[in-house]
Amino acid sequence: MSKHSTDAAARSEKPNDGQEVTDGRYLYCLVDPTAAEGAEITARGVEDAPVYVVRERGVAAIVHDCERTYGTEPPDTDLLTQRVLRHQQVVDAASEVFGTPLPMRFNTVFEGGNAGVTGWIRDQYDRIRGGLCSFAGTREYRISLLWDPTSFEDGAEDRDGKLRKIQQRQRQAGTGKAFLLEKQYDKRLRELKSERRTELTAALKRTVEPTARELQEQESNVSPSETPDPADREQIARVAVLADETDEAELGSRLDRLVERDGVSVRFTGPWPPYTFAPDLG
Amino acid sequence: MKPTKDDTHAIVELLDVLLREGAVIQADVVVTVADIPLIGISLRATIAGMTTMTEYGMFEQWDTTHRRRTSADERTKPPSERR
Repeated sequence: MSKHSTDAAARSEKPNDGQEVTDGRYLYCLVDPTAAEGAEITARGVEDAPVYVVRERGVAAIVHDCERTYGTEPPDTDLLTQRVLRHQQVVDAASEVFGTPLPMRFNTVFEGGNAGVTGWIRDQYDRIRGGLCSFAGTREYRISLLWDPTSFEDGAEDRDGKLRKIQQRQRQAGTGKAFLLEKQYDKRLRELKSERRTELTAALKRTVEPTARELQEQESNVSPSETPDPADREQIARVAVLADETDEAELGSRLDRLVERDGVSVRFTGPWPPYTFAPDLG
Repeated sequence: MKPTKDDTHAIVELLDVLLREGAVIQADVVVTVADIPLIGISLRATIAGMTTMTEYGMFEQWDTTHRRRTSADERTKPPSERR
């Protein structure tokens, strides 16, 4: 933690409502202003704060003035949701005007006014310009792959000789042996499902790779209880793809073909700024 | 298919992404960055109960603009390419 953040934490009177800051600037994203000289952002920022553009040569920062950071333990999640969505709305508005931004993580706050922001941009100028140039014309898309394991189980015996053999032996066995064979059946079915999940994940990657400048596999960590699926589908993979915005339709068509061919479902979200692929800046 | 930004899944994903990802700045003049993965988890649970992202009224404008542009694109295509 820097000296500034230690001082700010010590000054804070309401820790759950963020830290007090001196001449703070909440930073939404960095953009390339050269294609839209003099342009401004009309969207309102988090909690309706007026948003404006701070320019430093070929880099511009989209900011609003603030006296505190946002608390990491807000009184209700609804409030944090509103703040996060408003943050995204500003980033979207900046993308419309200036093209692909370098997006900041929510709650990135500078001290020291506009001079603090521009001083930092000067220090990091080449890296920021390099990032803006390399992401120009791209967008991030998120794809989740889902399948219905029940229909796979229903047809498993037709496809797998080992399962059929275990099933036949079960019919002829006594109670004790049938129980053990049932365990073998379940184990074999688990193996087949695991193989199929791996095949489908590979198929998803092959499908999107031709349109992807970069691809990153994500943790498949959103449990069904958090996002109930009406069709009881199981999420088996998530990927983030950085693609040219002109390839969006092609990416969608390729996903359509995957769904049709392999009987899976996909959730396709975007276009987002390159959150996953944005570099960390010193 | 077309990507979406306005359904429940998209907002859950957005919260997940925004609270965990995006450029992180290491500098003396930066006071804080988001460090709230636990809140991200409870947010996902909250949002999962919502019907659509537009309940928050945040993306209605985006959605309207996007749909208008999409239908304009469709109109400019020759009939053979329209879906």
